[in-house]
Amino acid sequence: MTAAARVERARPDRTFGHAEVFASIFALSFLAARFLPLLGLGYTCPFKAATGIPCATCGMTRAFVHLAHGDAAGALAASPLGALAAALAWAFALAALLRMAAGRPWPRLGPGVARAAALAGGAALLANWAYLVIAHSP
Amino acid sequence: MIARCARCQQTFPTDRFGVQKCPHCGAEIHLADPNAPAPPPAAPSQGWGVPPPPPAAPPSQGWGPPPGPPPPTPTGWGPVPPGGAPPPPAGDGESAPFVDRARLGFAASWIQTFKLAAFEPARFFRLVRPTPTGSAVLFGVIGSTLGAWVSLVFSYFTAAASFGAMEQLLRRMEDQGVDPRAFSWVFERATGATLALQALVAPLAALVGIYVVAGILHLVLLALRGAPRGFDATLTVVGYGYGIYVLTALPMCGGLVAVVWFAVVAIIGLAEAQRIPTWKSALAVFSPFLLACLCACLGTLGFYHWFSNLPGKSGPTSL
Repeated sequence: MTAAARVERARPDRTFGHAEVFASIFALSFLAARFLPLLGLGYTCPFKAATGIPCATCGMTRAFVHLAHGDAAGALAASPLGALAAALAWAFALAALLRMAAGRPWPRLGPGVARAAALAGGAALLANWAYLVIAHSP
Repeated sequence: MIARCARCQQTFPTDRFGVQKCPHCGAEIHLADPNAPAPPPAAPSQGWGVPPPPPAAPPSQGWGPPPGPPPPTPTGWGPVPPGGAPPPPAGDGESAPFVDRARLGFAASWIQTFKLAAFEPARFFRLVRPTPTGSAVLFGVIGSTLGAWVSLVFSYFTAAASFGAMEQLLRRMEDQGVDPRAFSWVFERATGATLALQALVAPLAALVGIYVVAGILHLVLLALRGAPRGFDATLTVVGYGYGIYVLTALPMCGGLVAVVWFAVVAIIGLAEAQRIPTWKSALAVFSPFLLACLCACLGTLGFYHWFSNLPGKSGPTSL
């Protein structure tokens, strides 16, 4: 291996790519949930207002806000998937920050792993919706 | 021999040359015979201008046994051979005009790219280079922000009239047991200060929207095994497609037109950019709508169940 190649490999990886953009969005979601009066806006889901039944994403805002204020039980009660998504999103944002600070590359995920994660996400959304319908329907 | 479809990148066995259909995506293309006389030199890249007349079209070169002939020459922006599938670009494809905005001029390159993305999405997304994605995202942010700004100005001047109409509607809905807060919420906050705040936040909202929409579409495509060219291709389609949201500047119907047009462009664009069958891209784009339909079906069933359990009601005959 040449000296130039060794220098190239030793260079820290601090690229700002798609993953970092998503991490920034997730970090913004934490700041919004923590510091903006989102629950005080009085917004009601139009679907729930019309039918009395929660939609698939009902409770997500409340879950993010409760978790951002350290109320994990309240977040889980509002929407289990919302609480999980918030926790994963903010953990990802933190991981991205640490990765950039350390200059380490992201681990490579194979297409099989990504596909399995996508399918698991879809299944989790449907399961969460079933829970919301059972728990919050009139 | 084994042939590779230049559209979907899948391989399949075949025993002949000439026009045939890909068993995976159904694309009809031409498998060139390597023993045939050499074709004339390929036409140079035509850029994003008007395609030349049909006789200038280079022969389709995207097919052939993988290990055999040399890589195909660039096909440029020539027209599609009659009866055949359009040839895919050689290499990475062409840069969109907006990428070349320093030379073409900012407004001119934006308008030229908008025309291609909105009116020729199949050709544009088949040939456009998916990287770097920065220009696509910037294009979408500009289009969406401009549309939002004009729409907000229109909302400011028509807020009073909208209030009147909405108040009447809400009164009727309240009589029917519908919670009017869900709908009045938007109108109660259509004041000058909140509209100004929305105008300030519009570029950031557009950026977040592009990434979130691309992320959701890409997740569904991954689940369908429909993302062979990666997230860059999905983000490119969503970014250039998002420019169509400039149509929200049109009063009244602009938002609806933009949503429908974006959906069409996204379906065509994802199919071409990812080299996947159209049903996969359509399923990815419509999955949120399908979820909403599922919500509506469940809501109807739930409402019926709730209604039939009311005192004095006993099922379908009571309805």
